[in-house]
Amino acid sequence: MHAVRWSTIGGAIAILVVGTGLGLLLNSLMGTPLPLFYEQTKVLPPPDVPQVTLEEAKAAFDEGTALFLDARPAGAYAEGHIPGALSFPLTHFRQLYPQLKPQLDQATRLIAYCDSPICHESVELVQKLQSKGYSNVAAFVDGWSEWEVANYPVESSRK
Amino acid sequence: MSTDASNKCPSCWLQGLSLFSRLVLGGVFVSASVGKILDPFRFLSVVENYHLLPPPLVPFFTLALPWCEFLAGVLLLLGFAVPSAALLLAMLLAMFMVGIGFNLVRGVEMECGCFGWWEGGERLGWGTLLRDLGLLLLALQLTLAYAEWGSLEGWLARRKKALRHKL
Repeated sequence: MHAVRWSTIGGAIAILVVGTGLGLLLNSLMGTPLPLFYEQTKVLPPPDVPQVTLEEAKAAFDEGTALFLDARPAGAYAEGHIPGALSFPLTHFRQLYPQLKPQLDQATRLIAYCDSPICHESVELVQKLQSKGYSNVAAFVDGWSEWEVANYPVESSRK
Repeated sequence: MSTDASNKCPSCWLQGLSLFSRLVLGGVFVSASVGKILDPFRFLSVVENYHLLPPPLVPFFTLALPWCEFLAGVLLLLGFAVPSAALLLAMLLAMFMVGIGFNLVRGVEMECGCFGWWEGGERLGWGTLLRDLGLLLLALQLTLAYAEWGSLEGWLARRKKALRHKL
């Protein structure tokens, strides 16, 4: 057993630098490169995931025709959510689905949302529910941030 | 004259272990990197799901990590700059373990993303953490107690020495 030599550390850094450079270079040469700036990675749902706009979501809320599903972490839901929405963090789907199933089955329409247009949890929640047989489900891709900016009603679980 | 095998080749076991570690670690990381390189968009969503990196770093990490894994894996398979490649992989494995442990403790259910698209949606679990621990031990062995055998670097060094001897 020997101590780690400086040349070993230098070599590891060199591999890291070359690997990073290769990744960035080859990405820039690809037909559809991955956007390097996070703000640009707005979620584009696949065609089989129905979407609703901010206005459509508001109309469904006003008419009371949809049950909203908040796919964000429970802490974010507690800070504020669309009134009447169920907390359904995508990360706890398997655990929560059996508990929420009766309410999901009763709803005529389900609308999932997450934080903002760059989050993907709403789309993934829709896909998971579709795989469970729900066809009346859509993603509100603009999400909580746009709802809040529009000054629409909000509800908080924190006192 | 002693006929004891251990005297003939005092570090044979270490050479054998080093070859084993190189091939296992190199094979695992090359195969793990290919799926991520081929589908960066899917890997991006896995990295986002871990909720460990500041958002501006996510695309850079998504693009850099698979190529670092690939390069280090190829170097291990060839037997070139082995301690350096193993040190890098040891650091990556330690980082993976922190990320996996953090999400397991939070009770998060998510795709591991460890092997790209061909892992069949492996979920994070304590088994994932144990597997990474095993790989980390192999990487540390190569970093701290590497004995060259059957490597390209060793073969080139011997060839260079033989040529010098001839001249």
